[in-house]
Amino acid sequence: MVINLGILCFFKYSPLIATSLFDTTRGVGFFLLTIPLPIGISFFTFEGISLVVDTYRDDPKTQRLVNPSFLTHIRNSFFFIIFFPHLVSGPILKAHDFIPQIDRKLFKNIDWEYCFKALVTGYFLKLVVADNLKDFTSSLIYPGFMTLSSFTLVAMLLGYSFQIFSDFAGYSSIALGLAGLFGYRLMQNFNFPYISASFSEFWRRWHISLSTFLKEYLYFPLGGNRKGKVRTYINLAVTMILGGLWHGAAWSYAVWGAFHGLALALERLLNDRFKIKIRPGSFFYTIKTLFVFSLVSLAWLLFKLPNFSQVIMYFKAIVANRGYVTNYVSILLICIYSLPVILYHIAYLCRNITPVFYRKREFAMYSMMLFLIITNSGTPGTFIYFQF
Amino acid sequence: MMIRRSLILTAVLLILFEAFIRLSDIKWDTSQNDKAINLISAQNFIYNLPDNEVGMDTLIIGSSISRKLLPDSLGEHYVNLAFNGWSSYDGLELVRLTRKKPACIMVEMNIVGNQILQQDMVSSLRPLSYYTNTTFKSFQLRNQPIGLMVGYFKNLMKNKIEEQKKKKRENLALYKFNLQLEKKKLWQTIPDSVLDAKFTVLKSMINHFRRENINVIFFEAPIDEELENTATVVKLRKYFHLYFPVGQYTYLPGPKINNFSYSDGFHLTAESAVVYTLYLKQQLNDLNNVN
Repeated sequence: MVINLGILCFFKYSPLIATSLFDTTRGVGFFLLTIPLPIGISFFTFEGISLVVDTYRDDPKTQRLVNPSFLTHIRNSFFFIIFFPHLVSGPILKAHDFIPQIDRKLFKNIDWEYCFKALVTGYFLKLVVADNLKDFTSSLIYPGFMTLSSFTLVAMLLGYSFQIFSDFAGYSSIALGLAGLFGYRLMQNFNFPYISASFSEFWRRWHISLSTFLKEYLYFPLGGNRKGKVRTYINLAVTMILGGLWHGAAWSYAVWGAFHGLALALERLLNDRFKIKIRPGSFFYTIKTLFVFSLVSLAWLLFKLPNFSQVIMYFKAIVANRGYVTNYVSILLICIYSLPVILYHIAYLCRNITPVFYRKREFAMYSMMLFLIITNSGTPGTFIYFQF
Repeated sequence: MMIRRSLILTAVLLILFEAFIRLSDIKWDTSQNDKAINLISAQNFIYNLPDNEVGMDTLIIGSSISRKLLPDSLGEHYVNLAFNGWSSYDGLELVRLTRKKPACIMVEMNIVGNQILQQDMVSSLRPLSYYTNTTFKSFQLRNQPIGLMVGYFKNLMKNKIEEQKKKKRENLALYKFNLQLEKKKLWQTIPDSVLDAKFTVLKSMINHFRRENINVIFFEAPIDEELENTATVVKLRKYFHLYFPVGQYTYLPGPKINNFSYSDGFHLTAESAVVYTLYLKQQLNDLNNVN
């Protein structure tokens, strides 16, 4: 575990250490700053940790992890680490989920419909939604945003929120579909996160493989909620700050993690103190959902503007630029490209109301997605999560 | 079963859309953002401009400054191949890679940017993209369904959009803010070694076109008076004259009086773009008369 974390720290956090502690123009500072970052390092080191911990733990779930044959075990371990569909951007595989699946696969056992749906949805989210939205949120950089109207700034922020979801959920869905073609089932990484009415629910629905990893391999070993209330709040905050830093070697990611950690701790505190129950589907529940979505979207700004002072300037510009002229065409396009994500979440909420209607017509939905992938894809952009 | 039905319906939708594109005569602007404007121009040049027609054309090559020029006001055979956010290099490289031979190339001198061809442009030039986009017009960026739809409404609301743009330009505080940003950028000098490397590449490209009997004309679009004598602008002018001496290369003289209006100090407003285009037309006519 130390070796895995050491590799991660050396490659990923050396630039942060260099800029924070050394002169980066020469010597150690320059050396640390110029170390190249291996592709997918955040993912394969975490999987390395999972492999070590899962094989070490005496858990009935992990019984099949260690094969009696040394060579087979080595082969399985390497295969687990380098299984390519998820390698550069997740989902983060856990040894106890994946290694038991390693076996001879037969063509006839492939679930083609599952793969087709996952691939079409993934490519649609990435190529049509995220790649188009990225050209409208590209002004979310300093000083570009300083000259835009308040309305545009808010629309761009919400657009970025939908973009980051489509980009990441799109990649995960493609990875699931691709793994399915090889006969492997990876865990769902997203479960309609923007319908969450609380931060804890959000983290059960967003980047599930990371949140469950942090829960299993960090939060629980820290003591989880078994060591009193204060310690629970501290554990939550520590887990989220480290989770934030996992995303990138910049203090803004730690602030992003701290924001989520604080929100989770505060939410837990309020629930413990007041025990208010809001019925799902009610007006207040909807307001709460919108409130959580707004805060989550505000926090994404830390992903786009790595300098914290620029984030403050962005908020100031939202307040100050009210009189500026708005480009309504761009806003209309942000709305159009965000619409599939909104409909995707609404369809999930309505899944129990019209299941037969939906199932009979889902082929039309997938053909429409395919049609738009072919005719309306945006200009290619790299996956946002590749940098992590 | 579900997969087969989806694929069949997709094929039907594609055939219907292709037929719609071929039968309809879409004249309105379908670009959705600045990047799309660039790529649509590039794709039109690559896919839709026949090689035999290019021989009579004059191409305007440059950055967003020249993008404002109105080729239709210059004459029948003018094509604007200037790109927002990019520079003359991209246009010149595009012409070189397509091996099309225009009659004349007008090169803007205001910006000398990065000399790596934009990835999106490279993608449009790949053989697979070339054959699919020329065979199926519905695959071209200008024919994207959402672009067509939004472009249609944009066309209907043209006057309102222009009014809004005008209103934006009237915001003096915003203009000054943009001007200061540009000023700050332009007072930072570019090292000689960087400029030497860039101009060496530029010179080899220009000479390549001249060897192909393509006429090359340099022009410098007007910018706000406060920016005219900033370090970068002066240095770029000097380098152009150093690498492309006035006696050996053709330059169009700049307008004597700078009474144009700008949206941010660097880009002409729509009205001034018309005035400057007409000025260029006059200069080109004078040049033709001399020759």
